[in-house]
Amino acid sequence: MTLADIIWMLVSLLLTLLVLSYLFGDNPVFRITTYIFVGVAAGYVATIVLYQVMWPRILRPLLIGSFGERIFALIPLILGVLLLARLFPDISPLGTLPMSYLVGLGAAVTIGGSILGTIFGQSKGTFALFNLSAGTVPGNLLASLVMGALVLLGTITTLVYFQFTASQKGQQPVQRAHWIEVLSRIGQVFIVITLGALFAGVYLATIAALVDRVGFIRDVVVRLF
Amino acid sequence: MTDKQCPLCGELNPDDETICWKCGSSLDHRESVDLNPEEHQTPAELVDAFRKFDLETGQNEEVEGPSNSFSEGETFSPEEDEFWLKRMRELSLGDAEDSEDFDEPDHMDISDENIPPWLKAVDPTRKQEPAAEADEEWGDMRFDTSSGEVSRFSIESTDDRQEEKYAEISDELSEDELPGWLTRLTRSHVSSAEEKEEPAQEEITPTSDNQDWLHDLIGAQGEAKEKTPDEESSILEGGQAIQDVGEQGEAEEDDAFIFSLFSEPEDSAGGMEGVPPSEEEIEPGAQGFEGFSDALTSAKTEEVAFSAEEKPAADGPVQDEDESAEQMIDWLAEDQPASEPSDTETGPASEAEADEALGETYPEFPLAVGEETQDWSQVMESLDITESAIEEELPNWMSLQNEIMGEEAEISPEQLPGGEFVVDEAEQEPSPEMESAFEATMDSSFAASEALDAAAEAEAATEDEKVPPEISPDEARTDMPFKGEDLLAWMHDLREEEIKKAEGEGSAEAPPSKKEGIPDWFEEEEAASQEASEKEEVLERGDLPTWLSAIRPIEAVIPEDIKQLDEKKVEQAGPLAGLRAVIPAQEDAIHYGKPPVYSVRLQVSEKQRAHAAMLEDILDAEGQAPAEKRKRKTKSQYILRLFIALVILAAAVLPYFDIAVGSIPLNAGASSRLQAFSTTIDSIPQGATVLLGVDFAPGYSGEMNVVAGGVLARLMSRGIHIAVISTTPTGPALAEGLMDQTLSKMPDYAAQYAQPDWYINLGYLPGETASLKEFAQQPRQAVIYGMKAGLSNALVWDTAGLNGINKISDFSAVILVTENLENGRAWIEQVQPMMNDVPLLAASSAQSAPLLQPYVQSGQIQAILAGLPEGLVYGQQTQPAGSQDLAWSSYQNALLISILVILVGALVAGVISMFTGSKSSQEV
Repeated sequence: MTLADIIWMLVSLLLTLLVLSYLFGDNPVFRITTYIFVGVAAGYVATIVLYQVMWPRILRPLLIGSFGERIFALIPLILGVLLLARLFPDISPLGTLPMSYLVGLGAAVTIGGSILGTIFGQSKGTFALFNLSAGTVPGNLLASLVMGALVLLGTITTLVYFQFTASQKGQQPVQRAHWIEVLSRIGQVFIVITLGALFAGVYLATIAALVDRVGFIRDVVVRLF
Repeated sequence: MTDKQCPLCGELNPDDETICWKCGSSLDHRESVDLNPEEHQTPAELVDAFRKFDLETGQNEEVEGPSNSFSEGETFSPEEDEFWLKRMRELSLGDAEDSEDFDEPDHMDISDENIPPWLKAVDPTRKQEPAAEADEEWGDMRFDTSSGEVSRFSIESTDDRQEEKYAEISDELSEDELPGWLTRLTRSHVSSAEEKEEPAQEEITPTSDNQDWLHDLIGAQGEAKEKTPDEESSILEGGQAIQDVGEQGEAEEDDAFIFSLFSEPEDSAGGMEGVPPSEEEIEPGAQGFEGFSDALTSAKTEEVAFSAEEKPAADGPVQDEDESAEQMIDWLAEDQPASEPSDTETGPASEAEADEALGETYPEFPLAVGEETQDWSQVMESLDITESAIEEELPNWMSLQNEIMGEEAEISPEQLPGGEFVVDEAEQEPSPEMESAFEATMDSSFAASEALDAAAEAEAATEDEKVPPEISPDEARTDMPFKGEDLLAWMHDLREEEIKKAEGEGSAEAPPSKKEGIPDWFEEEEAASQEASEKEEVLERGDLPTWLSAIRPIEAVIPEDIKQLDEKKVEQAGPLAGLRAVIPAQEDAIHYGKPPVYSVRLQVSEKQRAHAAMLEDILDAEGQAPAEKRKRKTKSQYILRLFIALVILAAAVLPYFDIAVGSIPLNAGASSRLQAFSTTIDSIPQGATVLLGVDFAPGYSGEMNVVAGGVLARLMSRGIHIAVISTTPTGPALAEGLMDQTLSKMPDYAAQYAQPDWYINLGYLPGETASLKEFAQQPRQAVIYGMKAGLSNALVWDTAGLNGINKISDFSAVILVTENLENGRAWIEQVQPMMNDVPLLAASSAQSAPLLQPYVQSGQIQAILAGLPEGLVYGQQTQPAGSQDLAWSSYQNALLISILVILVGALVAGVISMFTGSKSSQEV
């Protein structure tokens, strides 16, 4: 174990303890740690961008690349420079072109992927639950059907829960139809269960992080002493 | 080329025009007719001037017929009088182009509306109209020009028919309708008409049958010595006035003309007293009765002044003749509203008294020439007619005439319609006889007018403007035909004396003279007007709603200033030139004012204003964030939080102190999900290249290192090339740390996977979703240089581990290591469709596992390894046994303590809420 390792180990220990100081509430020590983390992360990202993006995709082609590489490199360079114009109000309209290109490209990719990857895929998977011939649970057709029904019910009721179309009849208050209210109640149950599961998962993740840090401290202490 | 001014309307016309473009009158220059009484020796001359004056053409015309000139001593023949009267009438009517062709009817039906009843009664030739026609204001008063009679009120006539008329008239007209003095004069005339048949000795000779009385009056000038000059003059004037009225055909002009009689004090022995100026004396250009009215009015003024001068001793200090003239003429006003509130005694009683007084004083009217006449001044004194009362009751047309004679009379001769009525009052010096006659006449008229005024005033309280009681001689109009300060002075003085007497008595009641002599018809008229005004007052004003009154423009409420007639202002153009208190037509017709701009100002009360301010404050507060109420941190909450944290931390730390150390159960890996993942990894052939996508956050490295570490260890153990790529900037670094940690646990594989062929770090893939799609389609174009390339030009795809990898499907498997759903979804949506049959595995944290499970069930992810427990379990396959027990124990202990804390906390909260709820319900 070298000196560098020891130093970095001690630094890590110190920072870990500083972060755990939040147990006693927000304090300047904890803030310092967060500031350090943000700074280090920003520096690291800048380094990554420089070595992983700027150099291999712009600088290197412009400097030592071929003519074709240079032409291809000028396009993103120009667009990138125009994008920087968004920082200045006077010349911000110049950044409209690259911004629009990025937004349009991102929207197209996202929408396409959502339709093809999520909607179609998830719908196919839901239908597959009712594929009596296939069955998700091998050897248990009934279980598959029940699961499918449950999934379907949960899906429908969850979607109905987010339907807020209502009407007013006479002097009665504005409210949704009765059957919609019933389905929304069921969907509300599924939503509550889902949110509970998500919270549990988050808590488990944090427990895992705690366990890891505790083990790290223990290891450092063991190594030092 | 200079423009010509129309004498009638005052419009400018081109010089070559002869007819005014506006009014159609002749533009020819009219020879001025000097109506100054002093310029004429006798009134006959003035009358002659009038006769020569063509009111229609505005020129002096030679009127065929009898002699038109009057000279001193020359007497008027009845034919001449009749002729010029006819002439005047015809011009006023405007019927005949040629006066000679004018066929004078025997009985000229003058409009009853304009002729006062008493005047109508003077007309001896007037037909007796039925009683039904007496509804009009002036009833059935008619003036017969041929006979010189006024129906229903014949003055004098030697004709039996006239006498009958008088009798009829007397029967028809009650004492209340006619002024007493006039009635008595009528009777006296009737009685004396038979006796007196003396021809007129003076210039004006009455006609044969109907104007005897007039001429008798006129002739009385020559016999003034026998009679009281005042009486004679008054008679003559009255008679002449009536005669002229008949010819004129209109009541207003008739009355005005009567006044003119009083304005001729200069009549000498041969002159006619009260005779209107002849045509010669009238300036050419005077047209119509407008100019004639001016002359009459001025004559009235002069007469008043003259009468005032005649009786300086009896009546007191001599007043201004102009003022006297106005005041004296007031009694003949048609609609003279009562303005003096001092008169209280009204009604028939007062009127009767006035009539009685006049009757006693003047038993006979009109009086023939030579007949003894009453002392009009005495009558005036007895009646105690105040000057102011007369002025206040002055009707409109008379007031207008007063204006002409009044103060600011500055009409130049050129401005007068039709000519110039230049009468120099100063030059005019009335003869003693004339003065006396004028005075007597004015006394009577003054008394009657005051009586009339008093009656009308008492009945109707009008708000008309009061004619100034006194008019100084300096304010006398200069455009009157008979101007002259001397002429009007005696009249004015007379009036002043009367006024002072009335004031001296200090009686609140109206002088009896005011009441007496006022005809009932006049009172009725005043009563009717008073009733109308009262009715208007009785009407209740409508109540406007509050909201309507609030938005009502203030300017609309504020009454506009009523344009008051400036009585001092004298009309200078048009047919009403020379009159006072005339609604200015010319000025208003030309000058157009800017319409008023009403500003709508909302009237709000203080309460409404306060409510509006309150509402404004509420609306302003909507945009402001409410102030946060800083909660005071309680120590109990701090201690509880600290306790819970320490408990959980202790549970996690205890296994490391060999306390509560558990072991991983053997059947932990029997879960289906774990088996599927394990099966998929084991199906990857050795020597294959697996793509590892490291997209988790540094904060989850503790969990993910455990989960991904097991997968890496398994892959290393199977001899699989591992290519790592990341769409997050920290991914490559985290991948390096993951690799180092795994190798630290597997030192045997450290040397192998230290080589770039076995472990290839493709670096950072910028662009997130879009770059993933590009990488999935063209990996070699998406990634050129690796993480460890640095500034070198070494291509990452030249390594042995990536040989044959041209597309994403060339990888044997793709393992996604992520802690969030977005990154996982991006890989699933962008990369998985391009992978064909290549399995996509996921090593996720516990928080994203439920979210990625549908993708597992849909088949988009073949297997998933989620959470620390599954990672620890899966790591036992590659790790030595027991190496993961501390982590496992710590995790389980912490998790268990957490569950207990949650349960205990929920229980305690429930119990507390139960008790608090019961307390609140009990309190209620």
